[in-house]
Amino acid sequence: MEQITKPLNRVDGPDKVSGKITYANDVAIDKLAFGYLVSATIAKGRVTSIRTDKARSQKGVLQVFTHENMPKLYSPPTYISPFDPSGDSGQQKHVPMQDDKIVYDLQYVALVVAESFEVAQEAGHLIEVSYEEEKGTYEEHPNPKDAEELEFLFGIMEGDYHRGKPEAAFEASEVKLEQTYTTQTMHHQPMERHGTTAVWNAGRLTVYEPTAWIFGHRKGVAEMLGMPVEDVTVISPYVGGAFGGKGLVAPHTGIIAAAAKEVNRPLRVELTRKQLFGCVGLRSATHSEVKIGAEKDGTINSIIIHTTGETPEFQKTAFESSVIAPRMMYSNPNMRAKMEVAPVPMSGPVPMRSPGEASGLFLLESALDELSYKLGMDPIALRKKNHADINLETNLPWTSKHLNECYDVGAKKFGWDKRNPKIGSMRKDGMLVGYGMASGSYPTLFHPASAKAKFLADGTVELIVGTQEIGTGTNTIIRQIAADYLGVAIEKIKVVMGNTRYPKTPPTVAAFTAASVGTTVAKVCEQLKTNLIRRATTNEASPLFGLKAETLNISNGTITNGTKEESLQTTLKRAGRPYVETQLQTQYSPEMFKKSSSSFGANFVEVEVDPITGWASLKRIVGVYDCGKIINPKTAHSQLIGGCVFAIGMAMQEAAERDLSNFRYLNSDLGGYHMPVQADIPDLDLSFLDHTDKEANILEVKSVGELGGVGLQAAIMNAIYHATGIRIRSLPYKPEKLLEIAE
Amino acid sequence: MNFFQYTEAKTARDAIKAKQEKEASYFIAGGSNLVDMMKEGIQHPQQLVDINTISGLRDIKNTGDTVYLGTLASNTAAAESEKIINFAPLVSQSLVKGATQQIRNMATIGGNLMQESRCPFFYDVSAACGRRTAGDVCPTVTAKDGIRTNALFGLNESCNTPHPSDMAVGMLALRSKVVLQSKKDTRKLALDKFYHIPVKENTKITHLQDDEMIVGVEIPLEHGFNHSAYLKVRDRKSYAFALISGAAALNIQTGTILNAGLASGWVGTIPWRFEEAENFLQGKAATESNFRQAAKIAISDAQPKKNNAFKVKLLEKILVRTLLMAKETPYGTNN
Repeated sequence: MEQITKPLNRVDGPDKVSGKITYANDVAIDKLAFGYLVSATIAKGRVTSIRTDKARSQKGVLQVFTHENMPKLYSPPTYISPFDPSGDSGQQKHVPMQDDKIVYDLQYVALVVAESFEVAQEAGHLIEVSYEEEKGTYEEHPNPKDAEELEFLFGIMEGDYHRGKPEAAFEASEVKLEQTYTTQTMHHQPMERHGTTAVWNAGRLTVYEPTAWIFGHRKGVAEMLGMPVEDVTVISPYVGGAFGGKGLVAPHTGIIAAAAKEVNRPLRVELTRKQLFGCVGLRSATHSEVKIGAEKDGTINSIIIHTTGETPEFQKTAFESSVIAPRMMYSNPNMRAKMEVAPVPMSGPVPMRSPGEASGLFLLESALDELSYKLGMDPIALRKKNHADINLETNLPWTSKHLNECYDVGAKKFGWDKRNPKIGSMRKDGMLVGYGMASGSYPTLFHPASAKAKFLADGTVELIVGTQEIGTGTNTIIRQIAADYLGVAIEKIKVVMGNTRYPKTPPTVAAFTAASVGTTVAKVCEQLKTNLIRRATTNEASPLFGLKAETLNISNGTITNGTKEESLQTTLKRAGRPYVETQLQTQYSPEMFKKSSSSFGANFVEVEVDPITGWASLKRIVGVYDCGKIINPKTAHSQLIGGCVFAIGMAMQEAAERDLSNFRYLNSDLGGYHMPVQADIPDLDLSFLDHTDKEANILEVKSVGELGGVGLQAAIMNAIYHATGIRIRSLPYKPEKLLEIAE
Repeated sequence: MNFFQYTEAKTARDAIKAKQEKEASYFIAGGSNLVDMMKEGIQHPQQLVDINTISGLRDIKNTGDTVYLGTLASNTAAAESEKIINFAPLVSQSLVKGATQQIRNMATIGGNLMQESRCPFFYDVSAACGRRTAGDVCPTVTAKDGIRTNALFGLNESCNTPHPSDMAVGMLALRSKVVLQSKKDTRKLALDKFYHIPVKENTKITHLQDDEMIVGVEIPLEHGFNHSAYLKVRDRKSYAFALISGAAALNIQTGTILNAGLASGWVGTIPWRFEEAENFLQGKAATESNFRQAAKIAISDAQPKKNNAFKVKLLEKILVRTLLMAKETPYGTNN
């Protein structure tokens, strides 16, 4: 094992930063037409008239589509289990431009197709739409009074989970905490906007699209168009950021593909930045009522969570499922975790960075902090006291768990011992200082994948996998895994990915790519290695003829047992073939369900608050994580940074602002939607514990990508409370929330 | 397509003449605001008169009595100028809190003063907006509870969105004057006389005439300010407009305030100066208790609604902190 655990630079790094990478909507296509989607300016109601004559008369306009002339599109019927390996994918049942109804702000009402983007955009501005608006009154957060049953929770979880006797145990507890926590609606806003390039050829469709799941997109597009999946190819060479978005096929892809067929031209349409706020999914707001019952010694008896999430009016789905992570976090024998949804006029929500864990551990880790003050107990001691030695949701032992070590190492790095537990007691240069901490966790998931490995006559290896590169470093770690499992120099390995003609893989979400695609690559490489060795040992002309395959290994492209050897190229040449290839598909195995696997972490935060204005600043963050073996410490560390930045955005500044008189988005541009910039990010000291997890999978890895964004939100608010005595239970922080600071 | 004429001007007079010859003509300098509005379909110019080609409008000078900034000096050039940093640091302190480095590199002094509303209703052409269309009334003006961002001062029946500039707030505290040139002559207007509260009849908020052009800003040195600070509290630590900003300039001699300049951003429909608070501070000791009293005076005639009520208290606190910061920041110690 030489390449795995090396902090290698990304293979595509230099090309990305020098602008050489071709993203999906950069691909050069002959005779390409361009489109511009026009969005509604109401969130609910209907189109009463739509005038397109001025747009049509513009020079260079090829066609204008509205609900009056748009070809029939079908609702993707299988949206309900998006992470099912069968390839079901769809953000929403609702397909725009099929009737006059408007069911969310920025919904498409027209598509202009023209010879250039500029003409299409100008013509789009000339379309006059009249509406009949359906009035309503709205609230910032979903109201439990409007709650309805959820259609699914990731297709696999119970929406109303309980163990023991949660209510009775809460009532019987010596110390009781009851609080309400809310989280805000958030937008992904990757640097690369969504968009589709659709090319038809003899009834077959090729779609170039930045997507975190090419196979899901293929199925979704085929369903929307009512055509066989086999006739659709989706190509996604690189993705300029996804963050949980771009995984479920959104309506624009079907609309653009249908329009391209109609105008009989290849068509490219990229969404506007503003449309990314309303049309391609978001992290929906949550409202959670939380009860914790404990004994005076800190033993938690019962945790009860009732979450209401925002959902569209046309389907009852939610991905910000606050009720999943808290089920297995602590050792409380009694638990209720119920998730419902309240409908509002919005498009289908999608997962966004640590979906569910982000809000779920915000509420749980905030509540634990509150409990620690009620008990007069150190927040770390309280968490250790309630350490979950097994996963109480599944009653399974962990594959590995080093959470207590995360607390200890983190506390030491951070200097937790210097914390004076008294609220508002710490000062620095006239500013109030607060220390806060919180736990984090994220499950290690696995979904079956397939991969093909090919040894070529020139001594190089091609790894062909459908998976997509969303910027996390997938193609870099695949090379590292393949190099080690094949015994071939890493420079000889080429990874080919991002095309539905390649072996099928699951979406790049939920931090499971290393455990799913990575282990599949390892296995296919083992299989290719066995294949190559057998070709040598079964051929009389080989010096290795007759040797037992188990005694041989491949090292640096040569089969060897230490004394006898033959280069792979020689083996291949003798076989008289241009290449040897092997393909493999991994499956769920019963072994996987005998233990529970999760990554864990501890977050520590220092904040400074101006005692006069109440303006808060993050000063430093320490994160220590237990993620099993780290294939590439550099790309893994970068993912943790990304997770932390997302958590800081959620905690401190990002929020959709909507006009509550009509539910339209108000801050729908990058100037108004306050994603963190460099100045918002303090010093981040993020590190992994040095443990592998032999029980988890053959690579001994656990999840990484999502963990940085879990728990930190609470740690920040806990630090603010420690500095000011003001508890922020509704994210994000805003300067006015600390206005009542005691001077 | 929306075609327009592009004219390069060689002198200010040429520029004014060209602008008057065609309907919907606009001067263009950095373009960091106007080009955005053209893309969004908010402005449909028939002519852009490029004033970048006029020489002599980029200078930054110290005349002894004043510091003078040419209208075409970039925000970056102004913020980094030794003359500004040494003699009117509040201009630099406020400028660097505005926009981003990239925008400041392009944006000019005159453009900054003339920048348009940043309100979402202004940018949403489907919404009513008194600053886009004369006679329109913004829905937030009539909404019972208002909105979080709206102004506390200078309210009117057309538009209550706050003025976005940071630089203008700093300049206002320093009692700067705008230098205006017409075809015939030049005149100077104090910055607080240059802006006016929005009116329903038209979309303008300045007294700039159709036949006039801003050629520079003059910062008088006669007030003897020797301490200053700019505090911008906002939802993101960079590239965000203020929630509220405070600008303070003080002439402190042996602990006594001889002269004070106090202004605030994002609380007025135009950059807002607190003259009564300034007068109160004159002759007083530079102490926190006097700063607190001055801040109380400043907020006394604020007109909040429910959704922006918090801004009154926040403004008061920000003004106290800004004055304390100014006291701790003598000229020559910042930047």
